[in-house]
Amino acid sequence: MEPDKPIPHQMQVQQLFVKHQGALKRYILSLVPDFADADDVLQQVFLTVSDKADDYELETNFMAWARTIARYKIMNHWRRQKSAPEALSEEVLETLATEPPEEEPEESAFARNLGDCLSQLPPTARELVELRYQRELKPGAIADLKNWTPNSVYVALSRARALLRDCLESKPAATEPNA
Amino acid sequence: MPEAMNDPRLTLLIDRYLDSSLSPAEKIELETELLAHAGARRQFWAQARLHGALHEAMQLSAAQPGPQTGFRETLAHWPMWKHYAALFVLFLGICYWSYNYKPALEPKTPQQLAVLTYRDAAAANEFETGKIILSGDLHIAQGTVELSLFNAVTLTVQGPAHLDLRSPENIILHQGRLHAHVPEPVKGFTITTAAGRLVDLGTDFGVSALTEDLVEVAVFSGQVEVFAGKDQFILNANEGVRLQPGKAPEKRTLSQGHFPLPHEHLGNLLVDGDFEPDTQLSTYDIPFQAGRWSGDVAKLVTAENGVTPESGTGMLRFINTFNHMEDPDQEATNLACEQWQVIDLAEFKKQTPGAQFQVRAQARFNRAADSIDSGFALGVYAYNGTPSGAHASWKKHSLRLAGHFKAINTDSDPATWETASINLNVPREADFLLLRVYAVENRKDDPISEPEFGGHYADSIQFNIQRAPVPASN
Repeated sequence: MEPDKPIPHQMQVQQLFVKHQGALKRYILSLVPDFADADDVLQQVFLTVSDKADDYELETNFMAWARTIARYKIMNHWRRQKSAPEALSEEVLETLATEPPEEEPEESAFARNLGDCLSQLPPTARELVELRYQRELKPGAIADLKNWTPNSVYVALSRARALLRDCLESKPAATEPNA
Repeated sequence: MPEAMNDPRLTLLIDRYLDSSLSPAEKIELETELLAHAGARRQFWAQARLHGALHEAMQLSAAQPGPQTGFRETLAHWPMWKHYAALFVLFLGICYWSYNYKPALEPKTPQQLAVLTYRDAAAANEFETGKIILSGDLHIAQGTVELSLFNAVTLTVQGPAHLDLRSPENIILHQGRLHAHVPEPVKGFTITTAAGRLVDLGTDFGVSALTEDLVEVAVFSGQVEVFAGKDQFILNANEGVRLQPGKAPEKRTLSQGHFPLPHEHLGNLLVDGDFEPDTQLSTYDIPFQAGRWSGDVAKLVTAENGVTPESGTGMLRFINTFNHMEDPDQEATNLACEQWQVIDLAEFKKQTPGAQFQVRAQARFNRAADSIDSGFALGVYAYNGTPSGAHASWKKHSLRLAGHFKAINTDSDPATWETASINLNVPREADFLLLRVYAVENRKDDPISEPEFGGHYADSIQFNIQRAPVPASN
């Protein structure tokens, strides 16, 4: 049997990307809210992370490094889409991007709490959340589907998210359930 | 400076930004707040974080195999032993029912008869997928649902509907339209209406009871025995009948569009996903037609470099990061070697206009033990137009209707194949899909006169499409 070969550096970096790609996607979605666009940016980040793997020192903060790459990709994305009505100004994006959110609590506990909170939503709110986030429909398309006005969809979605935030805040901080 | 935290107006503005629906005036208002207040920025991140987490949670829910499942179950993150325990309890329940059910006796207490495996958006207020349906009255105000009975019968029911589920083999339809799929072994499944009784003889058939006085039945395959007053007759495939109390049955032709259509697995739509030796493979970038592979320089190979095809005798080998459509003087991209296939949806959309499709794509990747590059990925993207415009559509990002990609890292063990898979809800306006499989460069300085990839393979690529149930169209 051959002795175990050390894992090449680039591969270790790509493994880190795979491990953190959920958190990176959430970060990108904050500044590029369109789901397909965010996927594109994530893809570009993946290519650059692979390309620049040699620049990354293992044992240092991978997320901080990858977020910096993501920030550049996000800025590039919006520069290309300058005419998009929803594009925030570069100054605002830079300000937001350089003030990243606090460290996220333990992910599986957050996901579990979110699952609990989703199950407590009233049926209509839950349906809207599914249409928006599972079927990836924009509010205008949801309005067409439901025969509502777009404004009532915005308001209802906003209320659903507010209910979820209230529910999440009422949950104890990330703790593992008893085995 | 005043804090803007938890300002309802700010909440609404951030939500509108996340929904890509800010007006120009609202955009200026939001930008002013974000630049001026650290609290506004904290609130932004809190709301944006939920936006990302909801998307992840819902996509995770949609990614569960089989019929669409509810997010609650998915997010509960049950340990596997609990899943097995639940399945075991369900199995015991079915066994108990099988041994103890006596058709002659109507159940006195509600019994578990079915699982709701699908409901469309219109029925979402009333039903959640995964719900256990008990014996007794079932009202569906609107929308379409699919019930999987524990005797393997599948009912697709369109509201407004009122059924009385007496047992898995005996159902009373007061109102509504349904399609029944009854597998061969379950003969004798009976639907009773005010105008007559229908006994299945192993078949697919539709029943429409828009009122209790007017019932229409059509058989799509197999046979149904009809009992209406003094009349008793067999209805064969492609025959229909109208039943009205006190009147003689009136045979007539009824189109399938008169009844809801059940979900349908359309199968694996990819051509040559196994890369057998007769596979058509080009190196001229994104193909202009459906049904063939094209992209960067790649070739078909048999077992080599210690890697054996995952299925059959052939597999795809990625070679270079350029293709022959490009300017020959242009340098390689040094990023990825891509192969593409276009999947044309036109025929399916023609057959069932307005239908919702769901895709599950999967690819297997492997590489030689001494190879350096380790990343592979799989992507699916939706567009409208015709496949001949696929290349132009890909280049113009704004034309993309939806898309997902999945990147994976592979180990350097040539004996094992790693899997990447994607689920995509196809937008109704999409006309074709682009499938992209690619190997990603770690080391960029390979001379392009030689293979840039030292033994990188894909095989057993699948692209399965399922059409969700479709309500009656007339």
